[in-house]
Amino acid sequence: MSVAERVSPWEWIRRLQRQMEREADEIFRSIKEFEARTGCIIPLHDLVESGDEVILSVDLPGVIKEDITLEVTETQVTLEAPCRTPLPSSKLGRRYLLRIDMPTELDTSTVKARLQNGVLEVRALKKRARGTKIKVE
Amino acid sequence: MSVRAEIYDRISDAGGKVILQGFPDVGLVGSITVTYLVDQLQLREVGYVDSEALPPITTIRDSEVKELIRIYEGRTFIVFLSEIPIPSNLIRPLATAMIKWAREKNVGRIYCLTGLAEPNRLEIETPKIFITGSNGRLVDELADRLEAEALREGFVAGINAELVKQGARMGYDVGVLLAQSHYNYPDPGAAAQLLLKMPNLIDEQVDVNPLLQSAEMVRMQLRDLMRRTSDTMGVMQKSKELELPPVYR
Repeated sequence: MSVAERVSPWEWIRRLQRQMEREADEIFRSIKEFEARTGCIIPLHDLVESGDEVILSVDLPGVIKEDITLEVTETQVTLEAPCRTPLPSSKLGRRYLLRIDMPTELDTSTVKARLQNGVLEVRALKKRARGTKIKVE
Repeated sequence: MSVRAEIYDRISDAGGKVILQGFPDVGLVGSITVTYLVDQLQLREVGYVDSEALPPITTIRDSEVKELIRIYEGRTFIVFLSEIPIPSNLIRPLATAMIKWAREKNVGRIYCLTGLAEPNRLEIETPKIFITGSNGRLVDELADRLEAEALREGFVAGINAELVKQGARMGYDVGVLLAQSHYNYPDPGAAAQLLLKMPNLIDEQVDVNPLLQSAEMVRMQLRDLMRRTSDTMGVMQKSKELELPPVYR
């Protein structure tokens, strides 16, 4: 927006909203394009940092735990799993694939994963920078 | 220019029936619940909502054009459902239009069906139902009738918040039934708990077993809607529902 162009605050909010909608739509389109190109499904997922921990949860309906391939490095989590549920559309692939960068480095020796009711939960402690405990007087 | 919401319908007098509102929201709990009711009870489509705030999208089902926000009528209730998350700029005008319409059509009450984000949902076998609403009398009555817990402290966001707020201002009964659910994942298990309350809420019994048996398919089918809804929930500060209000009165 140029300095000379004066718009009301409401118009400015509307423009901002439209821009956010366009960006969200762009992300959505790239997901669908990836799925169409690779024949893989990007599952719904959520990444949360909680204190010393990073928790990744992934919605995997139609998956059994024995089928999951999970790889965790200090900076990335990758999972693949076939979906055993008959799918609602032939447009969808039959395999989940998720590769996600971590917001902070992980201590891979602490990784724990469980699958419950079709939701995979991966927990890992953040890699700590070495520090010294100081006694407060 | 302000956004308007117009309701077009074939109902002349609702005769005290109640509205069940299940717009896309936390865990798509309301959407799953009302869609299942429409499907199981084979409800009749009787109207729709239109607004310039709705995107230029139309749904095609069995080669038929369907409106995005539709109204169905049952024996004791009227359903409002939506194919898309309600755009944030439509929330207030839609809530106003729904309450005005409900009064004009002699609708008894509005019940909003939704999810209550529960971070520990994985540990919960049977989600609990919480009740809030436009006045304390209604909340206590519903909590008692449905054997549910009254939500004494917390935030409600989005269309449910607007309906409750406007209901409180206008002296109209708006109740909200919240089932503990996943925030970002479609949660048919939570919807099933709401459906089990239907006999005491609207005097309708539905078998939830087909829903639970097809839960994985439902979750797959609703993946895209959940993704879109998550984006919208972020705009309307839906995560605020995870917080407690400050103590000042």
